[in-house]
Amino acid sequence: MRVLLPFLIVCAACAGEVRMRNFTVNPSTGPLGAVDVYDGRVEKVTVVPPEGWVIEPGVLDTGSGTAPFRVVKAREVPENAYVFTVNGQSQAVSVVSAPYGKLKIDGRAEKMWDDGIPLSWETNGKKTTLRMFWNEDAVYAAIEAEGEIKAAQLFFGFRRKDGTEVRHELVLPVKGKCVVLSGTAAQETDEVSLESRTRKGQTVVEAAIPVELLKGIRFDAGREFYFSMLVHGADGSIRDLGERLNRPESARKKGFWRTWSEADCSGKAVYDGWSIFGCCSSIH
Amino acid sequence: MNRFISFAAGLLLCAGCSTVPVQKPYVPAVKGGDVRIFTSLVQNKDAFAAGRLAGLKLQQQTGGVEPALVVLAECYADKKDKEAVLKGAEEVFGKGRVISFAVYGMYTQDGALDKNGTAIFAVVGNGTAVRTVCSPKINQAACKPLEQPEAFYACFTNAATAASRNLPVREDTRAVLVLADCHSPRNQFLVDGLQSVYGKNLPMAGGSVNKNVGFSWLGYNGSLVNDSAVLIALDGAFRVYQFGEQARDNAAVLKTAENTASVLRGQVKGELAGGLFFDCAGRKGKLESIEEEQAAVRKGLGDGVPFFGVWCAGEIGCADDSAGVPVGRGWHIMGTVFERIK
Repeated sequence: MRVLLPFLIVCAACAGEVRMRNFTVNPSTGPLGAVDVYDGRVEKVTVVPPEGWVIEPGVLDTGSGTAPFRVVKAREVPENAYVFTVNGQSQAVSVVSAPYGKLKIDGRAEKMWDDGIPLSWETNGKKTTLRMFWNEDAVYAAIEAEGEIKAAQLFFGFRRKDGTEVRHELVLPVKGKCVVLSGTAAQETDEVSLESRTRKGQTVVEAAIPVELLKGIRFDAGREFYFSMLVHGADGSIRDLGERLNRPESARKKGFWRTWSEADCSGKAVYDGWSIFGCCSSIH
Repeated sequence: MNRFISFAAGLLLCAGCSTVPVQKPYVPAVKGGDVRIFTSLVQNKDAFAAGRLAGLKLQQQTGGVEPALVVLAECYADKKDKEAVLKGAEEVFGKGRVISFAVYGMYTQDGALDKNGTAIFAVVGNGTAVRTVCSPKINQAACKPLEQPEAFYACFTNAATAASRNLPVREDTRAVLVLADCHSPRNQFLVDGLQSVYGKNLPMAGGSVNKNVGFSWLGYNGSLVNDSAVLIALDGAFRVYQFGEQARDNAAVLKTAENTASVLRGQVKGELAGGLFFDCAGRKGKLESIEEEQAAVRKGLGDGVPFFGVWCAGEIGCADDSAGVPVGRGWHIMGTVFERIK
């Protein structure tokens, strides 16, 4: 027992959490996929892809970091949900990517938005869908939410090679102008084109965010950045995109997101914003 | 009646497939003639000015000799700018004399650009002759790729087959360039259609113009077209060599870019006229700065060699694992170099 107890404690400490990473470009284009090990070690991970997919290799040497695999064959589905079996556990991931585009911001979710890659999830039975686009001048986001909402809060981040971080946080209120949150300051801006519309129990928020406002992040096909979003319901509820993104439990943090009157999650352990996103070319 | 049917069928064929050569009237290449490649690179928010200046810079290099082929890559978001940059270059070379295509960025021996950038490459000399054709509409919107994948992919193969039948291979055809609205992995289906006519041994190089629906434009015969492929047959007294490699992270992108260029340089025993590089836009996303890959290609080819590269949504060429057979891929840099035969 004297020998066994420390061994068990060490093992408990080193058993990491394995998470399949979302894809940042369409998997049919043959990108790299990856699994990440958080908070400990897992030496080998066996990955079984969705039916009809081929990946290489299927058994990954992971250790305490990230292990890539190559997508040899894949096929996208309209639901944008792909279930992998990772060490015997089912994990659903998505394509988390903004295709190239230039969109009209009018709150009507015009047809071009259909060319986006939808990320949909439900919170308390209410559906929320996010679509994003990029071009050389702006990043576009459209949020469609069942029911009444107050605002969407967006996080954009980038981690440089030297370890320093770039962090931008914006609030897109249903009423009023976009608010940039920085430190403890909140500043309204006219630079973000923002339109909202509530109709038949559905709220649509559309925004065009100039890339100049997101300094330190380059948007380009195949480029990755970090992104997440909280949608603040009119009833004080929070719809956390992180719940859709197969994040590890250790990514739930109090106090990560900045606070503003229409966007307050203080005291709640929601997922942080450090979830990988990407820019791609097209779904077509 | 039979005449009427033939006439009507002819009209239908013409409507479906433009076969009018946009370049100067075909003059066969002269054996032992000269083949030279020139490039220019310009960035300007004023698209017309950019196209015109790129044309003038190139014309200055050729000493006013009319090129056999002028191809312009552009990185503008709006259709009106895509038209303007084409018109700017046409002001220099003549209406219908420039083939343009949308890309995510471009590079030459002089540097790399993306937003509001344009680059031109021209093939000049009596040792080369050029024939072009624009495919019938691929009609990709008629099929849903997720629900009807086989029918969808057949659109690309059929359009390519039809186009290549209108651009037969001559005895002195050295390569076919392909600029097409066919995002990777669909470009392989286009290649399948071309190879059903040309066979698998004809060198092919090219890129996908895709920047999502509404942005994927080719300039042909003086106007913009989409959902199409432009084929360019390069005939003449020269040799081409092809090689390409894939990479998905920064270090590998730079290594494969330099190696691809270096392998190609090593294959040319005579005089290297220049190189074309169709490169994946996804690779561009892995660069810390867009000049990195251009510098790697320049290092691999050696100083003083003109080259033209574009980052696009799928590329055609010979990959390191394709045994010398052209393929349509993603994540590759596909290089083609031209060797003069004296």
